[in-house]
This record gives sequence, C-alpha cells and structure tokens, in this order.
Amino acid sequence: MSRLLKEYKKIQTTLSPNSTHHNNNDDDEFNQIITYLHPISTSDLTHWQAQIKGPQGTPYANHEFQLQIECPPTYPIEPPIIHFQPLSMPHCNVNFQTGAICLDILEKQHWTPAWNLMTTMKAIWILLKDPVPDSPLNVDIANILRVNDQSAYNGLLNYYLSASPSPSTTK
Amino acid sequence: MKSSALEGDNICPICFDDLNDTDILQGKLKPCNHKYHYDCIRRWHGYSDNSDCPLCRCQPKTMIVLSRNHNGVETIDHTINFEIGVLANLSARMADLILQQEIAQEVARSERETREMYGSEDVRNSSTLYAVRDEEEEGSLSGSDASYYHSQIESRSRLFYANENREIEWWICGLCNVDIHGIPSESVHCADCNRSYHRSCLTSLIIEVGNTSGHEEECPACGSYLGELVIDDLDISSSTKDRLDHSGIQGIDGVFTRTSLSSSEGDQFENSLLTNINSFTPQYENTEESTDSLVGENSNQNVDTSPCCLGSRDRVACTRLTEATHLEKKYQTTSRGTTTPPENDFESLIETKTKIQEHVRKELKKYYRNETTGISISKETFTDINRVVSRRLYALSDFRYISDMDYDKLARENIVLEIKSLEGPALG
Repeated sequence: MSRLLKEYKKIQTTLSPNSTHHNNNDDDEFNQIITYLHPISTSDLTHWQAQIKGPQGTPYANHEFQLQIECPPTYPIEPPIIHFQPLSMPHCNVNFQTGAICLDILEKQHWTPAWNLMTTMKAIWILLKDPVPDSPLNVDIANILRVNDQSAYNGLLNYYLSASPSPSTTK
Repeated sequence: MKSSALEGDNICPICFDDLNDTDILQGKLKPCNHKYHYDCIRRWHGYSDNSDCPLCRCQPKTMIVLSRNHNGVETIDHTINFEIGVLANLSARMADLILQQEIAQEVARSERETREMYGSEDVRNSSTLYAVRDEEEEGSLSGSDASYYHSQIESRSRLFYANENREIEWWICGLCNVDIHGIPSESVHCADCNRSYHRSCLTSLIIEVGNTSGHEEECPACGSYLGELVIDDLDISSSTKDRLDHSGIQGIDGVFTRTSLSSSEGDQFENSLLTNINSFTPQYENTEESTDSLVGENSNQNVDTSPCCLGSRDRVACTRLTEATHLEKKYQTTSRGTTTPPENDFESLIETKTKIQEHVRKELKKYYRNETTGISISKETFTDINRVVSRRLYALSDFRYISDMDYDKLARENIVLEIKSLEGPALG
C-alpha cells in the first residue's frame, strides 16, 4: 500500500494546477492528458477516479471521459481494474454498456509492475487516439473502422458523444 | 515501456522504495542491468510465471543478488541462473534420484520380505509359501517393469523440460513467494503441480484457515499429497528414517504400490514416484546379516518345490500345489479387492499369521506319518497343505485374527479337502 501512497504524492505534484511547478516535459504531457486522477477517499487508496481528455484530431477531441480505477490488494504485482463510466465511451475497444476496456497492459500476461496509474492513463489515452479494430469490444464501431468509412465513423461517434451525458458538458 | 515519471536510479520500480537501503538485498537482472529489491522481483516472478524483466520485458539469463553495507559497498550475495540448461540439469538429477530411490526401495522390500519369512521360529514352517510368492512377484517385476521405470523417468524428465517456466515455482514458495533455498526439511514440494512451499508458510496457513483435520500434507493449490523437497540430499534425513523404523509395515505398503503400478496406471505412478521417495528408507543395517544366512536356505526351499526334481507322486502334489497357489492367488486378489490388510502394525500381522498357523499345524499333525488315521502324509505334503490352508484361512479372516472364528474346524475341513484332492488325481 505504501506504493500507492507514493504514487499519490507523485501524482499530486505532477498534476498540480500551478504549471510553474512543472519541471519537465513528461509532467506537461501528463497534464495535457489527465484532467484529474485522485482516490475517491484519501483513507482508501484502492479506489480511484480519473478523467482524461479526448485526443485532438479524433472525434473524442473536446470531450472528457471518466474512469473508475480499482487497485487489487496485490497491486502493483497485479494490474489495476479500470473501467470507463458505463454508457459514455463509444470506442471499438471499449464495451459501451459496461465501460470495460480491452487493453493488453491491463491483462495479467502483459502487465508489469513498472507501470503505474499515470502511465496507465496515458496508455488508455493512446488507445483513444489509435483504436485497434482487430480485437473489438464494440463490433459496430470496429466494422465501420475496418471498412475505413471515415464519415460514417465520425458521424456515429459524434452521435453517441453528444447523446451521452459527457462529463465535459455537465461540468 | 518508456520513461516513467516515477522512475529513478535509486528507486525500486516495483515498490518505489529506496533501492539503496542497507540490509535489503537487491536483484540485478543480466544482461539488462535493471535493479529491483530482491523480494520485489521474486514476488513478481512468482506471480508472472516467468523470469522477465518488468521494465524492458527482456528474458534475463541471470540475476545477481547484491547486498550493500553501510559504506554503500555492494557485494554479490549469490547468483540465480534462469537459463534452462541449469533447470534441465536439475531435471536429470531428479530423474537420477528417482531411479536410485526406486532401486533402493526394491532391494529393501525384498530384504524385508526375507526377514518376514524367517523372522520368527513360528513362521518357519510356512516359509516356502513366501518363497513361492516372492518368486512370482519378483518374476513379474523384473525385466518389463525395469524398462517401465525407465520410460516413466524419461517422460518425467521431458515433463521438466517442457515446463521450464513452471520450474520457477520450484524455487519460490507458493504461499509467500519468497525463495526456497533447497533445505529439504524446511520446504515441501508438490509433485503434481510442481509448487514448493516453506513448511512454516503451510503451518501458518493451516492455523489461519483453522484446519484441524491434519491435512497439512495437502498442496494448497491442487490438494494432492506433499512430499519433502529433495534436491541436494541423497541421504535420507534422519527424521524420515526414524519415522520408518517405527512403521516396519512400509514394506507391505510397497508391495501394494507396486501392484497398482503393474496395472499400468501411469499417472498414479508418476504421482506416487516423488512421494514414495520421501516415504521410504532402505533398512540395510537390520537385515543384512539375516539375509546372507538365509538366502541359501531360501533357494533350497525353492528347489524342493520345483517339479523337475520330484518323483511322480510328488509331481502330482506339485501340480496340486500349483493349482492351490492359483486358488490362493484368487483368494488373495478377492480379499485385496474388498479389504486391505491392516497396515498399521507389522508385529500384529506376524502374530496373526503365527496364531492361524498354529491351528492348522495342530490339525495337520494328526495326519503326519500317522498310520492309525489311515492317511499318512509326507513332510513335503505337510508343508504344502499347511501353506495352502493357512493362507486360505488368513485371507478368509480378513488378515486379522478373529477370536470368534473356529479355526480348528476350518482348518480340519480344509485339510481334509486338500488331502482328498491330493489323492484324487493320484487315484485317478
């Protein structure tokens, strides 16, 4: 658990709203990706909440997405369990109903304890940028991606993103 | 993965604690040179089922375990070799060990049976009985079974080669994920799932789950029997020896294990292979003398029952004997199928045999060179009938001496039956 405490401290300094504290490009990069990343309660560091920004140049741009993070007691030996807010993320590698994410590093075989919560957020953000239609959890979106119908893809995603109560609109 | 905001030269990438704390072992993977706390990296390897580096995902060849003193000077504690070659060597040694133990077990078993034959004066009369049985069993064991052992050991070796990744579990406790340094008395190994455990971890687990049924010898992962971890120790620990000295019946046990072997239950063999190693000690020191002096006598007895050197009358007796032996085997198999002999007390087993034989001998003596009964039997026939009838009664009474049973009457009936059947073919 001390590892999660150390991560929390590091996250607090890295994602500080006061940008003058940022001392390197890595910190800037994380600030451009992550809106916030904090435990739901400071007394229990196993449950976390996060919000990441949609990457520019994708239909997700200008939207923000909420994530639920659960760290098993054996973290970081075992990977954290991460879900998008249900019914909020139209993405070929995300189950729209449950928010479950299909990402290799979140699975036992590919996770290593060298990852941490911030880098995992970055990995999810990269997944938004570069969807992988070959291992889909959302078959409809994956099929449109496979036939490379860009206008249909953008249209469908925009429909979903405007219809679902996006955290950015409620903010 | 690339640079991490939390990564630092002196930080363990797994726990984020200072890597250079004194008195904490470090593990440095080669050739990638990534450093971790020794406990952290072993915990990870135990979880991930491989020896990969968490940072660069390379497959390191070795890990140098370093300790650091107060002046910051690093010294090499030991080196762990991940390469399969080493594991293969281990497998070969394991196979070797298994073979050696099997042979020792075989030798000691026959020795113990010899001792059982001539162990006491009272049993002496039925010695040929055991001699015949020994011959039968050993005959069926030699040759084909030896090659069977070898094939089993080979397949066992292949199993080790195929599972080189699982081998890592050999060295890490399945409960606390900390290394096991191959101290057999302090660690146990599951031959089924290839996991090892510290004995202390198992004990604390039992306390935790409140298991009072004495199942501490069960593997927490797969539930099968756990044997002691035997790696460097070819000499069996004195504790094992003591345990066995108190239960001489192990030899009989061995026979039954072997019986299940020849029924070609390969898996069972494989499972019992490692456990047998641990539950068995040859008892040379007690038996060597008696064996030497008795082997000659034993072979003489065998000659007596051999058909080629007997007269025609005796040959008939011998044929009858063979039939009786077959009948006896049938008795034995049926009784073995339904009940197993009590294996807890070797002494009581001998006592039971002796008691039953006393009854048989008492009844049989009435016919021995006694012209008044009309039937006179020779010494050979006496021994034969004594053997056959004693055996039958022994099987009938479920390998125990049952005081309610009228052994005299049973013996008389069976003896009459035997004598009649002896005369039958002779008259016909």
